[in-house]
Amino acid sequence: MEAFGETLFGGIGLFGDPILWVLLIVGTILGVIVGALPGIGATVTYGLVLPFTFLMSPVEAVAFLLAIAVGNQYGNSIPAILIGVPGSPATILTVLEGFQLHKRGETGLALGMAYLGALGGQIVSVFFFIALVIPLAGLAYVFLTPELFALYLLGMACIVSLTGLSIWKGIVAAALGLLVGVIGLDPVTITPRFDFGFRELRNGLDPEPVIIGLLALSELFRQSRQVFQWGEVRGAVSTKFPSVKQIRRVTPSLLLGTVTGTLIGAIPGAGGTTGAMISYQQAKIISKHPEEFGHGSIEGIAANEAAQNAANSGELIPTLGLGIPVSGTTVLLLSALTLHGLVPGPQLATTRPELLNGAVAGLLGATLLLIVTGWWMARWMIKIVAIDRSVVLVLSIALVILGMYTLGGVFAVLVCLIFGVIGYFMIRYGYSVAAAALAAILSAPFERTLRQGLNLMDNSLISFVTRPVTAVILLIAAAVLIFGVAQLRSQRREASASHIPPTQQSS
Amino acid sequence: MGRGKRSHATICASDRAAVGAVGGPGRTEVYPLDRRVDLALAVSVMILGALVLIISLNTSVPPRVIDPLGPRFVPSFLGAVFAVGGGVIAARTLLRRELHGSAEGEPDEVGVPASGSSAMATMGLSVLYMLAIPTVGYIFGTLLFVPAALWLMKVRRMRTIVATSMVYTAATYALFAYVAGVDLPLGPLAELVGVFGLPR
Repeated sequence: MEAFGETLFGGIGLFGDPILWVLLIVGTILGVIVGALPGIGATVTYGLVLPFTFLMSPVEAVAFLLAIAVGNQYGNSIPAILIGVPGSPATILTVLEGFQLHKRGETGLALGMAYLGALGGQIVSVFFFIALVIPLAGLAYVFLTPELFALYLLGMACIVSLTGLSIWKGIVAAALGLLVGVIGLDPVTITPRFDFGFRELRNGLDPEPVIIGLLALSELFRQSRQVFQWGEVRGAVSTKFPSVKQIRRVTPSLLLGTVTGTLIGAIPGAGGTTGAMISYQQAKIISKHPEEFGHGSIEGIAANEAAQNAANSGELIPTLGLGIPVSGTTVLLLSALTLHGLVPGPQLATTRPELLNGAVAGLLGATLLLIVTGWWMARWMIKIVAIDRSVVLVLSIALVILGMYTLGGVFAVLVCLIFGVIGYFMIRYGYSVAAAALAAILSAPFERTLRQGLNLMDNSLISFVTRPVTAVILLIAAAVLIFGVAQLRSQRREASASHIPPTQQSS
Repeated sequence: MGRGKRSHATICASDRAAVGAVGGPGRTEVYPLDRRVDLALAVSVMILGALVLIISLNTSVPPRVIDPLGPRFVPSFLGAVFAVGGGVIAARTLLRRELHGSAEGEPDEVGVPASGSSAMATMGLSVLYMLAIPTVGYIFGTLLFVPAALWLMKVRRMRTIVATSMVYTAATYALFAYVAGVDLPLGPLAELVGVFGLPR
């Protein structure tokens, strides 16, 4: 309880810093704007701003990036409701319910429910985050090399949930990420590997250009295949806030979505989309008006939005508690910390507890800002979708190149472009870039702990398994793997069941 | 892939499409996975696997270091994964009858012409921009890249092109030079900036 209070009030204590507020305001507004631009998600935005975080302290960087994530999740719901275009896959159910309400002229009700769901879910989930991350981070002291290896193996097992529809393509993508970590000096024998005599490769590739290339630049290249505008806001936009009766009606769904979103978000690989889908189904089960689902249900919007936003906090639990990123954005969050010389791992939160304070400040501060300005901003964001999409894409590419140039000169830009092009083909042909990025960040510590652990255990792999903590983590890894493969098979079955022969052509 | 090539596409009435996914309600998605490119990528993965195996097996192993797995283990394992994985994907692609039709890849927006060559040109321009920064400087390089990329993305309003290029270049240079204190190369402008006594 003491640690809980320290983390919470440590985070709140940071609100006395005016620089932090500037970063929170910029981050939140930027997050809402990019959230309102369909296709430019939090991952791409993190890729754009990552080099700038070098100018901040690690705590400020964490708070700034999380403010973007909070703003982004809220901003996503605006185009979903107004033009029926989801800003991210997790917002699909908001389109289903919110766009129906907008077409019926109840835009204020839909936007209001998204506002309440998003911000309610976010604020409550912060407390769950603190309650869950502290005991997890406390385990760090029992971690020796075998336990660390098991932890990284768990991270590797989580990749299965990010592989996409083809498990083989997912495995190849993950292997590509692992290969990135192999470049440079061998962790045990200090033998150079895969450097081809280039001085720049001798110490290995920095993860930032690789990850930004794979996650952000590739997506921007993919989007440059088409020229179109995002859409127009049709019909009148009423901005009447929901009544107290309506708010009371959605409260159970909102709380259910918050708990589910936080817990599912904490499961590596599951993420906000899965949390939102499950919460939506649960809300339908407990609703007194299940017939409204699919036709403009306010409970559906509240549950979905709450779960998506709560997943922001949930994803941070393994990321900051164990140093295991669970999504594209958390991979980039850890990359931002490595820019400051911090080593991702289970010791991260115990050696640098102020990072947890930064996370609390970022999540709470951005939510408070949105509580005050979010309703007003939603009306403003209607105009954002009128921005020329081509201009946004071109400037985003230019900004990525500039960021990389400032980070590591022409070589960093070159690496970023190479992985951007590789990522483009990966996205187009179903090789998961998220799996590759996650593997790239886990690769070096995975190999190091495996080989150093074997040395420590007299070359006995059995000794790895018989250690209690290692055994538990390996069992969790096996469960994650089995669950992931089962989920993948089910997705494949659904995809082939819904497969319709080709009828349309695109040039 | 290319603009000139007409490719069949598959409409996948998945849950995402049913609620509008990328295209909005009522729209469906196009999965334009070209089997030939899919096969070429799978073969490339196999070749990569062979190369990784060859390079890793030629990695020197220092004597007198206690290391049961050694520096070759992980890269050799990855090489084998690439070779086997590429082989399985290639075989699966060859066994698939239709030219297009897997829902594995990320779809294009339906109803809007998609051009692989446009994406390639954007990539090419990005490479030129990277080369231009250290040679002609950040300001000239950006003033060339942004208008060219906007033109490529079918922006034809001169006012938009000029204003976007000028404002973006000035804003980012000011941000880096004056706020962040980062030196961006100025190329031929370096002397001119020195004459006016501005920070470089």
